[in-house]
Amino acid sequence: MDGDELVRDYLGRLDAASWPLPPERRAELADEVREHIETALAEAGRRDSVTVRNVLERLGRPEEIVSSEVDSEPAPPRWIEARIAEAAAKAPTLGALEIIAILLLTAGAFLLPVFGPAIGLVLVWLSTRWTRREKLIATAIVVVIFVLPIVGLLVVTDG
Amino acid sequence: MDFPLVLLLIPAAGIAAAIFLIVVLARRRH
Amino acid sequence: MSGMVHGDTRNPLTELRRGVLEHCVLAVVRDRESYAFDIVRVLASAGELVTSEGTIYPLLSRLRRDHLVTTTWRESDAGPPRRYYLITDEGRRALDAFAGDWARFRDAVDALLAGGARRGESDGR
Repeated sequence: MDGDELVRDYLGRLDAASWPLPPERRAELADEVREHIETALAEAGRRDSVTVRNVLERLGRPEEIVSSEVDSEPAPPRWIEARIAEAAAKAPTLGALEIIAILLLTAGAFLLPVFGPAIGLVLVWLSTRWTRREKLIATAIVVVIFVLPIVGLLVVTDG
Repeated sequence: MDFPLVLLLIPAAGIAAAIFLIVVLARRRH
Repeated sequence: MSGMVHGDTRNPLTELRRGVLEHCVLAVVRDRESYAFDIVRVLASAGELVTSEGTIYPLLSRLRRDHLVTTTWRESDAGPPRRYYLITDEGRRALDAFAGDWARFRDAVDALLAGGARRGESDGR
């Protein structure tokens, strides 16, 4: 693998290992690590696979970084930890909740007008895989595209 | 005259939001 | 110390290292603000302090959460804006407390190690 592929692979492993983290922190940590790598490579002046390997080696295994992150959080009670471990065992990046939400937003708009996408949006908010900011943006998109023209038309026909 | 517009806007809004959400997740994988 | 509650599944040496490292980071940002990569560099040059450089980020996140440091974003010519860390008053208090604890701890361990060596000699080993 060449340098950039190694970096992508590492960041992918970091993302996969980050499943226990709250979405905001997950995204933030990814940014911090990515920037660390870029700064280190900029300083070294090269991005060949040997240099990249050294940088990633010094960075440490993604699992270790996440483990350190988890240790720094106040501990949840044991039963919550057990549930989390359970969920982790079956957690891909895209979960059932997220798939259903997206289906409702798209196909659901045809099959169940208004209600389908509305429920889809509720599911988006219930998901843990998107940050609050992303959820707000998605909601804003729906509002702008759907609600505002309606309001505009109502105003025009009344006037 | 409003009704056909509503039928077009709902899917458009949902699909636009869905695309955004999918892209966000896809970019996070990297 | 808060955050140490994961207990039996964790290596006690890991806890110790993290607690010490936390305060080393506070010491680095005590007198002037630094950004993450710079902090790592200073720690690395000070000695064998960090096994995995990436673990500095969870540590910094925790220091922020506990209000022991503040952060400021600053423009950098080398690319995107950087987050600069600086100690807070609460951080200073924590650092002073640690300095005392560490000195006592270090002296106690050193004394025991020295005493142990002498005992070994007198046993004829």
